[in-house]
Amino acid sequence: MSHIAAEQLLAEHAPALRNFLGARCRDADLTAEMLQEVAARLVTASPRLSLNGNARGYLFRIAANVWRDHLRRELVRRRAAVVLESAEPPLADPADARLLERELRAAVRNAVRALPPAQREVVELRQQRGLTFQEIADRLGRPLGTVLTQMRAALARIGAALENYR
Amino acid sequence: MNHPTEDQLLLLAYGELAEPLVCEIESHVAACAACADQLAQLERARVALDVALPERRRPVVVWVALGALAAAAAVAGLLFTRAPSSDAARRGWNPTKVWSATAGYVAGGNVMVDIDAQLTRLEQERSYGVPN
Repeated sequence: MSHIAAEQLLAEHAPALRNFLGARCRDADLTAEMLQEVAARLVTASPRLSLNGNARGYLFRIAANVWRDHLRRELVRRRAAVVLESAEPPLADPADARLLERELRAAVRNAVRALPPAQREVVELRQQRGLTFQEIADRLGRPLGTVLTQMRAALARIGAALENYR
Repeated sequence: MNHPTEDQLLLLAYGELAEPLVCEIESHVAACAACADQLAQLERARVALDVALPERRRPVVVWVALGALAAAAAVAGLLFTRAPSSDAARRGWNPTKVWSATAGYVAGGNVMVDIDAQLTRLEQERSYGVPN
């Protein structure tokens, strides 16, 4: 895929990408920043890409990755802010993103360990086996709706465990 | 449209929503702060989980590559062990077509390179601008 084709592709889908990213972050400046990141990733990758006709899917996959990367950095940044404001001695230097991320991992793993077994089972099959929710439902012999409810409950508990990161 | 269900938002956050619904719900979320917040919460928790328990991608490419290697080995075994026919011996044996077809699979030719595999490779190589 040429750079020109990549630019045309971006121009064609920019409004939809802006909606996609804007709906998530609800911040015009951040949306523009992430859109640029999507463009940069596409252009960087374009010489080695063959899109097999699903260019739109590819673009949105990049956009979703850009958004998740932002969330990941945001989680670590929030942890750093909490550490700076806290009177308690920090477990890690707030400037050290790797250590902060390690703390984040520990907090989430603890939260996963504390989940009710039925929820933990769903989380583990999704995360560690990479199964879809339908596949998890089939594997566990539970209705899909039950699996989705269990996953949502698990995510809510994990979200609550991350309150320190807000 | 009405607000999407919580299950639909979860499926959207995990990229498992059926395609016809994706555009419709994306449009709704773009205009509805409550649903956008709910989706952001789900995605934030999902990202935290991804950090703590990285998803193991299903090794489709690995299996395909292994299968291709096995096929290549079988073809090579056949070619090396089978005596050429007298006709082939007269004309000279030219295995180019066999090798090129196999090499296409082994080297990851277009036949087996789909979008997801490419993204996986790029992510693994960190070569498409992943920010620090």
